[in-house]
Amino acid sequence: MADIKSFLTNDHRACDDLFAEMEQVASKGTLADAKSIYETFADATEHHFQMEEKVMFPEFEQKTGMVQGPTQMMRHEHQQLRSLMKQMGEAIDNEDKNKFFGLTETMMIMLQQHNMKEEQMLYSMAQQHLAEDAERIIMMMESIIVD
Amino acid sequence: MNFTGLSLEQAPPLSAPARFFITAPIFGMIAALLILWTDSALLISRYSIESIAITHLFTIGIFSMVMLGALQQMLPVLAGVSLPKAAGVAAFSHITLVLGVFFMSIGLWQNDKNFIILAAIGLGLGFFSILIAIILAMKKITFFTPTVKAMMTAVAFAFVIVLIGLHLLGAHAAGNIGNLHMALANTHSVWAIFGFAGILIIGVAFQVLPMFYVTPHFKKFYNNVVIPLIMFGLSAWMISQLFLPEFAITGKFVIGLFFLAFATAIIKKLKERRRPIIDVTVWYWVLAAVSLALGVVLWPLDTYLKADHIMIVSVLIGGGFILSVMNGMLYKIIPFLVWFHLNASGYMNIPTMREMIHEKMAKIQFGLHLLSLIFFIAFFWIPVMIKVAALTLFVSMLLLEINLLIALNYYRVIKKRKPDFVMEMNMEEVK
Repeated sequence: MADIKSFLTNDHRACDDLFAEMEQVASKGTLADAKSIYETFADATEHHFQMEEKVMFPEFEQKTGMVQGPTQMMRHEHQQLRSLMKQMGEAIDNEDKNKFFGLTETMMIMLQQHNMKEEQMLYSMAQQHLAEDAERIIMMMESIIVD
Repeated sequence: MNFTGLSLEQAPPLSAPARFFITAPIFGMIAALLILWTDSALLISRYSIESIAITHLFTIGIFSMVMLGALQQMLPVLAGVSLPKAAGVAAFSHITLVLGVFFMSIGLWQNDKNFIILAAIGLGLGFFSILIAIILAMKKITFFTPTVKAMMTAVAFAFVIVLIGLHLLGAHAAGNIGNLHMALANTHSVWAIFGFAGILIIGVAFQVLPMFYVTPHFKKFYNNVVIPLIMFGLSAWMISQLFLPEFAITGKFVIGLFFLAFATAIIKKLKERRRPIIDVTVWYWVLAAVSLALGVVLWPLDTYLKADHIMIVSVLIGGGFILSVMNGMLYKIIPFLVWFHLNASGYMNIPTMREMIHEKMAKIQFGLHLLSLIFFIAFFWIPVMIKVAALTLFVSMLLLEINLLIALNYYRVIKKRKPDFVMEMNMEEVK
């Protein structure tokens, strides 16, 4: 059976892997070396955010009527994470390693505590409320076009 | 299933945990000064009044402060609940605890009944106000992870040890030291160290090691089994020391064994971590694990060794394990919270965590911390070392305080600027 919780949780892990690889590459060479893996990471993360913001969150809000609740807070945190990723890109362009690793440090904690809230609470709620539509919702998430 | 109580609430105001965090090193400095000025012969015995007073500057003034601050911060993130009236409860609990610790030191030192009673009132109000708020928040939890269960267990232990502690203070004030006094004092200290601090640190490590350093997660078996077994060990030890003292050592071995397993797990997980960066907080975790391992191996043996060796165990477990974990984690938590609160209120141009805590300063502080531990242990053979140890501890705590205040000062300074933009407006653009 399709499962929204494990689908999105697995996507978190995929993004985590890219993040770890980006840090590895950046720590070994110059930041320019890490630019392409940074872009892959940022694209994958943006894709994940939009799967939630365009598909899962609205479905959840419609079903539960909780419009100002957890989904709104997750959107807010997505914005915080987007601002960090943008600054990481700038640090790469400026070859500023101290800035870059300072940002990845913050990004890591922000991202992990965000993931934790989603995986341990929001996704569990979503899976319970949206179980019967899970297959359709996952298909829609897979087919979004990222702006 | 009922979700009405569930919310992913925003973190408490920065002041709520921060006031607890920045108080901790101050008590470290006070403890160091008292050690410096006390006759070292009095400090070698764990039961001397001076030892008890100084111990509580560490356990309440530093450890409890940091744990209570951290619990307020972690409950919203890890369990989705926050404390009722978070800012008010934090302010009240903080001030009463601070006064309570001061009164306790004065009361014990001067053998002044009135101060001891004031201490009991202050500490009772300080601990119970925040513990009850934490328990009320925990009642709303709907998803139970191993970390959440560990936090609940630790809080239950905290509740009991505070009750026992108040009873012990009352007995001191009344001059009524009965037969049970020593057994209760032992239970109070062992449950406080292993039940409250130990279990909380294990539970939090399940989450923060993977989160900060991208280590592999702890195995499910480990998550589910270690804490119940430690609870079993702590209960078995308590019952046996009351009724069958010759078997109490078995309980110690059980508790020690699982903490030893935890210490090795920390080292193993850190070795397998995927973040390439080594910072001072990794050093702190390694020092904590090594000290814990040595401490729990030595602890059951104190029955066979000179009774004074228990003081080495306290230095290893209290200073080497608990203080190291807390010191290291403060270097992560404070700059992250400063960043988080500023960013959440629309500030974009914020120094990174690395710019808030200078790695070099943090490394010097780690070196001082390590030296003070070595000096405190050397004291058991070379009496004069206690003075050197106390001085080193003082400077280490002072530098920790400075490092943390530098990070917090960024919040104060940046908050005076106009935010770069208002988050809500941007939210509309996203939609």
